[in-house]
Amino acid sequence: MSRRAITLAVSLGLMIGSGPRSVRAQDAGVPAQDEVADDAGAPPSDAEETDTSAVATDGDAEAPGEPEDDLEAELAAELAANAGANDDAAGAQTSTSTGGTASSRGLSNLMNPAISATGLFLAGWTRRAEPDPLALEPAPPEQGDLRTGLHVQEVELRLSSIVDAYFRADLTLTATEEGIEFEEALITTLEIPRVSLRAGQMYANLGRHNLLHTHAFPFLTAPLPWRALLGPEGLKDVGVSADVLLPLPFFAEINAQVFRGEWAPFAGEVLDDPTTPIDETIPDRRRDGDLAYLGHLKTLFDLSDSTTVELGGTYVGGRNGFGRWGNVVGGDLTLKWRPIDAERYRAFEWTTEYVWIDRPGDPLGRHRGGAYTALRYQFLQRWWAELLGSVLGVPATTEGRTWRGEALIAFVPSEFSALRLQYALEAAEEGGTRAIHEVFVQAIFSVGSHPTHAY
Amino acid sequence: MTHRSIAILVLSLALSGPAVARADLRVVTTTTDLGDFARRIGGANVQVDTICQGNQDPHTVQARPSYMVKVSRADLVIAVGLELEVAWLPALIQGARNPSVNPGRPGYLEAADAVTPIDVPTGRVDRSQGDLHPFGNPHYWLDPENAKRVVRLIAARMAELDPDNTARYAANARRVNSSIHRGIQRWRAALAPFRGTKVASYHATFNYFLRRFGLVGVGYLEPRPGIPPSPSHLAGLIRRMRADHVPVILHERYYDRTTSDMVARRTSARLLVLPTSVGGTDGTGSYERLIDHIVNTVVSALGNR
Repeated sequence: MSRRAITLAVSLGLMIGSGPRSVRAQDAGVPAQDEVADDAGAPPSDAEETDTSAVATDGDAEAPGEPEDDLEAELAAELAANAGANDDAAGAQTSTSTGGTASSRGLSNLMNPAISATGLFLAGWTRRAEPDPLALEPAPPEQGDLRTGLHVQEVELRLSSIVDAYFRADLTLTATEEGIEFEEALITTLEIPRVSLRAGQMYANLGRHNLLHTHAFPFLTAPLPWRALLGPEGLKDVGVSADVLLPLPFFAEINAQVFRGEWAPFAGEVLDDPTTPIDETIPDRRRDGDLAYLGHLKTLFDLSDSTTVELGGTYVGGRNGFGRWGNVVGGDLTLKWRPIDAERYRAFEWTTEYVWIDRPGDPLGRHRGGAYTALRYQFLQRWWAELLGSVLGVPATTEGRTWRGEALIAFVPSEFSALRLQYALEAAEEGGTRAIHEVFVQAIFSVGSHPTHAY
Repeated sequence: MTHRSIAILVLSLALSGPAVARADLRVVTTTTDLGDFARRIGGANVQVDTICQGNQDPHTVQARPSYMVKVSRADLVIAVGLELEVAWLPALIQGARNPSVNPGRPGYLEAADAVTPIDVPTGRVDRSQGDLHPFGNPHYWLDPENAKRVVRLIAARMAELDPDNTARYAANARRVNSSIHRGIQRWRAALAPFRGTKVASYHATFNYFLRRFGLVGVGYLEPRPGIPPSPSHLAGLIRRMRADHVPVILHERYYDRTTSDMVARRTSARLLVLPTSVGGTDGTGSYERLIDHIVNTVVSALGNR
């Protein structure tokens, strides 16, 4: 999306958001003091009242070619002529309404972003063999498998803040044993009705699991098919996004996203197998200008006060590394139950997701897919029991199917800490490999600003 | 998308359009108490939706996307404030994509602006103290004097957003406050014989109520806010309750009553399971009837000792 289009959209948002109503509010009388008030109650304070009309006028000036009447056109022309001066005025207006008192008292840290940090530690044992660095065969693709020993799974630092009158920003810096990266760094619009526009480094809106940060995973790792098909880090990249809340009686959201899309489903590189005499190397033919396009629909229905069902579907398409158009299709279904009068004590969630990948041009097979289904049950205020079953290889490939089951018990003393114990069993149908058993303990802590809980 | 689903979409749009267009102001309140005030102040001019139900714990509401749909249509969102809704309301407002109710706008009101909070923590503030509310105890609505202040604040904000109906909102607010005022006289008289009586409670929900009517809280079953009771804490509380001859335990309906029952059995105290919001139990359809219910329950328990 071009900068001009964003500016236009923001300006439109301002025009709709702060129309004549807030102008009228300036001279609105407040009801007379209550004659029966026998208590020294403070009269209602209207300190929050901000003069948004000035900002709105400035917004009009930035929206060229949209005059609805003569007066508006006249004002727009005059304001455009003095655009520089007006920008300064608007800036001063914003700072007085949001932070004037704070800065005048020297409390500049009030303008600091909300900061929180999360740490995840793992300890455990797996029968999975360590990859042999001297082996002739190429190592299996890195899937983010759990490894025996003590590990820092991840340390995450999050900063969130309102940027100005128009945007909020979210930064997530993640440190793992592999290094430090910006997991997310994006801005989101605040002032446009019904629509959120985002730009920056962000997660692709593919179903449910791909949007989760590691500390919010229901199990210790992403489901096996997700790690194998989408890559160990999931689908996230630099992109732009627009989501619209549809004006329906139930929740329905349409999301369109465009990413650089350097992701496993679109990768084209095939490495040479050194055990055969033929050179099978295929170079990645993705070009710098290639993009990935995503469309997502999410709906949610209240079945009762305590129960909801969420249904979503996703399509991602883009030119892949074989020079052809690749496709990813996902579907998700979630049932949630939380008794309305005992939300602290009981909850049940059942999530099922499927992802299907079409890789035209891939000599190793065109179609891949996988699914998982997960149950979570909160049986006491601080205890959860969870089960997950997943399968990689639907439709089946030459490599056969791999099944993985996980059972987890979590002790959650507060929303800021948790201890989780997970047993996993993984078995491949073909290849004669032994089943893999895993037992891991995870400790999670979270400090800083209060998290808002996504549903 | 099939033709059929497009038809459903268009139909839904057509049906939802006029239903929301009638009222002058569309208000969403987080709790039913604020909803009761908003309905009575707004009368026919205002359409009110509430998020948290009367029997629901306002701390643990889930940020359901279906609530975002309500907030997306609102002209005014009224919250309790003092971080009571901190875990879920910001997510609802962000997901609603309705700039007119963003915090800081006239369409967003925290009713706590009208009251002076109590239990404001002093000194060290960190999460070792549980779900602490750094700006004070947010359960202020159970003090009817605070309710009157909140009514005036809501009426003023409605008038600001809808100046044409200023006189109507002011008159309705006066009527509501006269009724609450008559209630205060009734509740004061009913509780007057029990001034200074010591009570225990599960969570700090009733502190404003106790202070207003001269009852004295001696302790909570929760060792710290939001932390489930531990044996050592309960043992200490039971000893204190026995020494002070505490006659009642006030227990919020949405908390598990197992430990409150346990404590009641080991002391001479009676367990009173109480609603904390309008609609929390049968016969609490308005704010005055809610306080009537709480006062009557407490009075009959204390009177039959």
